[in-house]
Parts: sequence; C-alpha cells; structure tokens
Amino acid sequence: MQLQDIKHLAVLARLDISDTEAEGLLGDLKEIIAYIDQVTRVTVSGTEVDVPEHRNVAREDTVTNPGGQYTEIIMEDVPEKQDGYVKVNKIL
Amino acid sequence: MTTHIDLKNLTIEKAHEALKSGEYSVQELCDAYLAVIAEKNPDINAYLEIFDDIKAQAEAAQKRFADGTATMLTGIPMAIKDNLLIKGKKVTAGSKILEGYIATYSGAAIEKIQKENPVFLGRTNMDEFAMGSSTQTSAFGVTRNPLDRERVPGGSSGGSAAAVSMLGALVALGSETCGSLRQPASYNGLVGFKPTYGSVSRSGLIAMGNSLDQIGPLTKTVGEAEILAKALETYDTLDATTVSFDNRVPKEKKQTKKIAVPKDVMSGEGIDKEVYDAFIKSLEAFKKIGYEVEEVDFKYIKYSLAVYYIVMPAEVSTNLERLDGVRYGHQVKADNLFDFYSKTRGTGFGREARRRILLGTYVLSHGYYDAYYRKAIMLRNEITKELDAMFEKFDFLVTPPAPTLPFKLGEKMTDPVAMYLSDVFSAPANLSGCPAIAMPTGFTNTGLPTSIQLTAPRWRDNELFSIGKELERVLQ
Repeated sequence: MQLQDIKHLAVLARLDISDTEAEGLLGDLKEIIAYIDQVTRVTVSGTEVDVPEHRNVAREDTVTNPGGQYTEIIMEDVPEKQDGYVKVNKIL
Repeated sequence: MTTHIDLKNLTIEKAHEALKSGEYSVQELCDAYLAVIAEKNPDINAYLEIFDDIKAQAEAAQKRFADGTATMLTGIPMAIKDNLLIKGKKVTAGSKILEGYIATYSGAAIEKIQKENPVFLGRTNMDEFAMGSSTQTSAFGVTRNPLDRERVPGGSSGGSAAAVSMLGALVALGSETCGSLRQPASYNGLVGFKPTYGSVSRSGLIAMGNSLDQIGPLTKTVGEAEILAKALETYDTLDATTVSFDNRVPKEKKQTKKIAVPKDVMSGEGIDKEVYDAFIKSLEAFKKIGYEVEEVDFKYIKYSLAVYYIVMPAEVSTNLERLDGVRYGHQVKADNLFDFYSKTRGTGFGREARRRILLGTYVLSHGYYDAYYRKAIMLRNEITKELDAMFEKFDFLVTPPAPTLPFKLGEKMTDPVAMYLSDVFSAPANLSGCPAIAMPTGFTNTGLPTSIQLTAPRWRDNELFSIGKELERVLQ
C-alpha cells in the first residue's frame, strides 16, 4: 500500500483528507492490514458460506402510508431546501 | 425537601417497590439522579444532553402508579446511548456529521420500552459511530471513568456505563457491535448484556455493522439486565434480521454442567496479569456452583478479531455512505457535488471513522475482496460452527471480557491495533450471534473492577441470567 492508494480510496469514499493526514492514515492502515492479513494464511475447508438462519424478508409492495405523511418532519432536518425540495449542487 | 435514596444499592426491583408503596415519587427519584448528574457530569461527561421533558415523563409515570397500571420499568430513570433514536430528540452517534439532527422517529425497541413509561434522563456519550473501546473518539470530548477519573470508561457505550456507575442513572441502554456493552460494563463494575442477534430490533439504532449490532442493557445486577433484556425483545418488520418469536428456539442439547475456557486464555498470553489472576480466581466460583472447568483448544476462534476487523469496516464503509450532508446534519457547501460530499464527509467524520471507512473501502475493493472480505466471511462461518460444536459438550464459554483493566486516558490512541485488541474476547459472540454477558467479580488491590464474561448458545439468553444470578450469590 502506498500514499497514492490512500488518496484513491479517499476519492472512492468521498473523503477530503489532507496530505499530512493521508500519510498518517497510510501508516495506520499498513499496521492494521498487517494484522488482518493473518486471515489470508488460514486454510478453510468449506469453500462456500452456509446459508444462515436469517432469510430475506419482503413485504407486499403496497402503499403503507398516505402521501406526505412524513414529509414535513423529514424536511425539517434538511439543511438546504427550496419550495419543498432538497437543494443540492447541479449534477449535469 | 429531598428524600434520601440509597442510589448505590438501588435496583429496578427495589425502586419499583418503593414507587409503588409511595416511599418516594418518580420525580423525587429523578431529582436524586439529577443532583448527582449536576455534581459529577461536568467532569465525567457521561451525558451529552439532559432531556428537557423529564418532568413530563415523571408525571406520566406517576399517573401509572396512581391508576395501578404501573409495570416494572415505569418511572425507572434511564440513560440512553446517543445512537438510539427517540422521536423529536437530538441524536448524533458521537459525531459532528450528525450535529443538529433531530430524530424523525423512535426505534422499535425504544418505542416498546416507552410504553412502560420509564424516564429517559438524557443521551450519553459514545465513541463516534460506536467505533472505539474507550469513548475517546467522540466528537464531544472524552468520558472519564467514575471509578478512576484518569482512566477510560471503556467503549463504545462508555457514557452509558459511566452514567450508571457514577449513580447518574439507575440503568442504561447501549449497543454493541463488538463488546461495546460488555467491555464498558467490565470497566465500570457493571453487568453488560448482549442478546442473541435478532432478538432486538435495530430499527432506530444508528448502524455501524448491521450483521453484528445489537441493543442491550447496562445495569448493576444480573436480574436488572434480565428485566431490560426482556423489555427490549422485539420482532419488527422494519428490521428484517429480527427473528419471529416462534423461531427463537435454541438447538437441542443436554446440560453438561461444564464450562469451556479457551487454551489461549488459560495460557495468559496477551492478558494483563491482574486481569488473568482475577479470572483464574473467579473460575473457583463456577466450581462452587457445581460446574467443571475445562480448557479447550480452538482452531478458528483465535482469528475472530482479524475477521471482525474486516467484516466490520466493510459494513461501516457501506453504512456511512448515507451521511452525505444532503438530507440532514453537517453540511459544507462547495462549487460542485463531488467537493460538497468530500468536504462534508472529510470534516464531519472524525479520524477513527475516516480510518475505518478507508479500510472498509479497501477490503471490499476489486483485487482485495477475495483475499480479505470473502475469506473473512468464510472464517466467520467456521468460527460459528466451531462454537456450535463446542456447545454440544459445554454449557458456556468463559473468558475475561477484555485483556486489560481500564487504561489511562490518551493511552492506545496512537496505536490502532493495540486499541483494537481490547475487543479480542468480544468478537466471537458478535460474529456468531451468540448471547453474552459480562459481570463484575470484584476489585483489584488498586481498586479497579474485575469482571468475567460468559457466552451461551444462540437463544439461550435465559441461561446466562440464571447462571449469572447464581454466580452473583457466590461472588459476593
């Protein structure tokens, strides 16, 4: 792992980090990866994961609440809004 | 006039009786805790906020006693970890990125508890997004251990644990992804309980690692942990990983009256001497109540922590994607959307969160997925099978909750792996979904609490309470 890898991961994760911090994180991640790397040296007999006891749960695709029921309370938390819309930067 | 209430020895059961007989009112009980909070919280920082509606909550509870509909949790003053949503209240998960956010709904477990009209005193400090073992990664300052203020209270539910141990709440709710209830319990001389995965709804719990997270109690006694654990049990369509009550059936097995201690623990390697000595001594308690202690050599369980530090960051990096500054919380304006996201997230998340997001992004990325994430999932499966097989011959797995005593503030902050090792005995229960309890065994010569941890097979949570109560009797 190198400094450019940290910077690439930060772009993927949308994290603005300074060069100084990137260097610090490189050291941290190297140390952590050296620790977790032990999993690559174990052999596991099974090749696939058993199906766990949890199952996908899907409800009927029906309307569960009247439109607008939660709009007001949810919009109260929105930092930037205009005319009932959430405001973001131009995408295109 | 202030009523004298012996908060140190107060339990849910005793408070319930006293409230029922009218020995004191709910408000008087709350006032007793608020007086402690006023005195101690400025230094200890267990609470981030004391709620402004305590009086109304106390009145509602008092009414239940007046009309005879009070139940065990009615009027019980509780501290709530800052990652549990209560409708209309601030909740930050200890992070600047959620500063100003007001919960738009209450989680299912909180809602269920609220039906009994307890009193939620306030929200408690925690490691940012529950990432940490010392409550030092909170964006809102460290929490000090009330038993020794130069030391950490453990984490991530450190604020909840400190609230109870400083006698600033009768009990507390917290959550854990890997020992975040059990380890702070052990650092504060308390009981911390993690239920079987799937028994408590995670709706309204700010997610860290979905496949590992569970809500649970922090209390002074095992009996109280049991009361709260039962009250928290929820089957919820908003959390598809909750298991319906009919299906909460443990695998059949005969009681063996035997407990297993991992060989690596018995060897004492990587464990502080005081922790080890106290642990060996506490094994005598099991013998007193008729259990045989046996050393067991595991093949895969020793990889639990490494597996956890792959699975968890992977889930963290996915979960924290939603925190983008668009819909709530902290926001930094920029010229374009990319910079808006990056600057919001770069300034909103603290260092530990940033570290884990990057680590998670790495283990999930092309070229490393097979080596790390997929391998970790396969090992997680083996660990679960290994525990299941062990439980055919043993009733409980027993270890210390953590390898060290409460450490000094500032310690381990520059060495992430040393900090992560605090979770080494916690990981197997979270990876396998098994229930586990940490309970106090006494104090060291220097006055720091010692503790023991028991893990049971999935859906045998009750057995932890019954053996826990037996152990309490012989340990006293």
